[in-house]
Amino acid sequence: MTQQQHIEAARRQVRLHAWGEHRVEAAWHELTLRRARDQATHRRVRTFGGPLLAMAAVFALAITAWRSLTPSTSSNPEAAEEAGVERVSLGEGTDVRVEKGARVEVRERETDRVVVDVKTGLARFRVRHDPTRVFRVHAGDVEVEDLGTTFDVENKAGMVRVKVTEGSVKVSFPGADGDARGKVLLEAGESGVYPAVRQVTAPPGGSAEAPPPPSSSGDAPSNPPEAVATWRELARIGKHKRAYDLVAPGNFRDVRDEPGDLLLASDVARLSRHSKDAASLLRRFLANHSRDPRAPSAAFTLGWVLMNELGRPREAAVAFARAEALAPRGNLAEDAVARAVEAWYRAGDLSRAKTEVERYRKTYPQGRHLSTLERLIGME
Amino acid sequence: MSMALQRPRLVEALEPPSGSPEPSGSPEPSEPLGIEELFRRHAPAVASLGLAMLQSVEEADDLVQDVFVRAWRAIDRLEDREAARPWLMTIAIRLARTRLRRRKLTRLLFRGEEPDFEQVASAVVLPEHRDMIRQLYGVLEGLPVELRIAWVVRHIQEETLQNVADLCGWSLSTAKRRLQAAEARVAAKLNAVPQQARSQP
Repeated sequence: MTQQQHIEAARRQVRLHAWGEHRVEAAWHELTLRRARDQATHRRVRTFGGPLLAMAAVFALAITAWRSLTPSTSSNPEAAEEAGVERVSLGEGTDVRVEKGARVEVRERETDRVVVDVKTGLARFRVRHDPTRVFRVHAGDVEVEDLGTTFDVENKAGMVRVKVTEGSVKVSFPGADGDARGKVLLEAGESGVYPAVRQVTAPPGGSAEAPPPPSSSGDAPSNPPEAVATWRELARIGKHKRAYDLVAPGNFRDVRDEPGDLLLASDVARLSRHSKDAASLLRRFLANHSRDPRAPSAAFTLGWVLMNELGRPREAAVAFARAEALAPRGNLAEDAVARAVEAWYRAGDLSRAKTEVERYRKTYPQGRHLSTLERLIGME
Repeated sequence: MSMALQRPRLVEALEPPSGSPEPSGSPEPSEPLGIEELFRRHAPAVASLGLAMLQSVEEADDLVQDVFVRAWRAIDRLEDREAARPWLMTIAIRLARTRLRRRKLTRLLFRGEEPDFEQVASAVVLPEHRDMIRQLYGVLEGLPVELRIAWVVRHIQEETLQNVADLCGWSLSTAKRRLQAAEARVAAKLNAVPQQARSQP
C-alpha cells in the first residue's frame, strides 16, 4: 500500500461524510439556538454596566427578592413582582433569577420539599440536587421536577417553555382532549414548549410542528402537541436516540407523509441504531415520493442499511439498483453500481456480481472503484 | 478543493455598512446580513475540514458550530464577502489546532487511550480502506500538531502550498519546511506499518 492509496482512502472517507442539505439544515438550527442563548447571556451581563453596579444590584435585588419570595406564615403566599432581575436564594446552592415582569411564588418550602410557582414570565433556576428533597416548579398545569440542574421556566401567553442548561429535569404536561399527561425528560441543551393548560380543542391553526392527527385515524390517541414538536427538535440537534424514544412508541404515527419528515424520521431510526425501522421509513419514502430529488439518496441509504446493518444483501442490491435508476447521471450513480456489485457478492451471487462489474466497466471505464471491484470478484 | 485564496480583508473599525439593506421580515434586523447564506454555502466545507483534521464526526460538528459562532460575531468586519471561505477556513484551522493540542495534552496527562477511528472509517466500503484510514490517522496522531495540520490541509484538503501557508498563518518557507517534515515522517511510518500488520496474528 502506497502513501497515495492512504491519502485516497482518507479523501474518499471525507467525501462520504460530506454534509447534505439535511445536515446543513440541522446544524443551522442548532447554531441559531446557540446564538440566541449567547445573546441572552450577553444581554444579562450588559444590563449591569460594570462590576460594582452589578454587585450592588444583585445585593439589592437579593434582599428585595428574599422579602418577596420567602413564604409568609399566612395561607396566601407572597407574590414577587419586581422592576428588574432578582436573584432569590432558596438556600444550599439553590437560587432563582426572576426576570423583569415575572411573577413567582414559593408555595412550599420544607426540608424535604420545595414547590415554586411561576405565575407568569421567565424564571431561571439553579438547583443543587438533593436526593432527599423534591424540588418542583409549577407553571400553569406544567410541572417541572429538578434532577440537579440549571434550567429556565417561562410562562407566557398560555405556553410554558422549559429550557435546560445543565443537568436534567422531568417535565409533566397536560395532554390534549382528556389524554393522559405527557412526560418527558429534558437534558442539558434541550428545551420544550408545553401548553400551560389542558387543550380542550386543537390549538388554533396548529403549529408547523404539531399538526392535528389525520382524520382517518380518529380512534388513534393524538399525542400532545409538544411530544410531536420534541422529536423533531431533538432530531435536528442530533439527539437521535431521545428523538427515537419519543416517536417510535406511537409506531411513527406522528411522522407526516412528507419527504422531509420521513427522511428526518429515518435518520432518527438509523442513527439511533434501529435499522429495521429506518428501512421501513425509507421504503415508505420511496413508495410515496419517488419523484422527490432526495429519492436516489434515500434508495442508496436503504441499500446501505440493508447490506451493512440488516445483513440482507440481496434486497440491498435491488435498492442500490433503484438508486442508480432514479438518477442514472447523478453523483451517486457510480457508487450505487459499485455497491450493487458488493451486495451481489455478499449475497453469494457471483455471476450477477460479475455482470454488474462488466456494466460498471462499460459505464465508467476510468471509474475509481474499478480496480477494487475487479479484485473483489477475482478473489473468488 | 483547491481555491483561489484571498486573504480576508477586515476593516479596522466596526462601522456598520452604511445603507445596507435589511431583509424584510428579518427576525433580528440588527443581525449582520448573510450569515445564513454564508453558513449554508460554507458549512459543508468547514465540516469536511474538521473531519479531515479531527477524525471525529462529533468534534467536526462542534467545530462547525464554533467557527460560525465566531464568524457571526465578526461578520460585520468582513469587508470582502468573496474572501469568506478562506476566512472561515482560517478560523476552523485555528480552532482545530486548539482541539488537537488539548487532545494531546489530555492524553499525556491522563494517559488516555488512542482515538478510535472506527466510527468514521466505518462508512468506507472495503475493509482494506478502513485499515488504511486507521493506519494513516494513527500515524498523524503521533505527529506534532503543526505538522499534522500542514499535512492534512495539503494532502486531504488538496490546497496549494501557498494556500497552506495563508490558511495556517505561516510564511511560505515555514509551510514548506513543516510540510516536508510531515511528509517524511508519514512516509516513514506508513512504510513500517505493513511489517507490523504482518506480525500480528
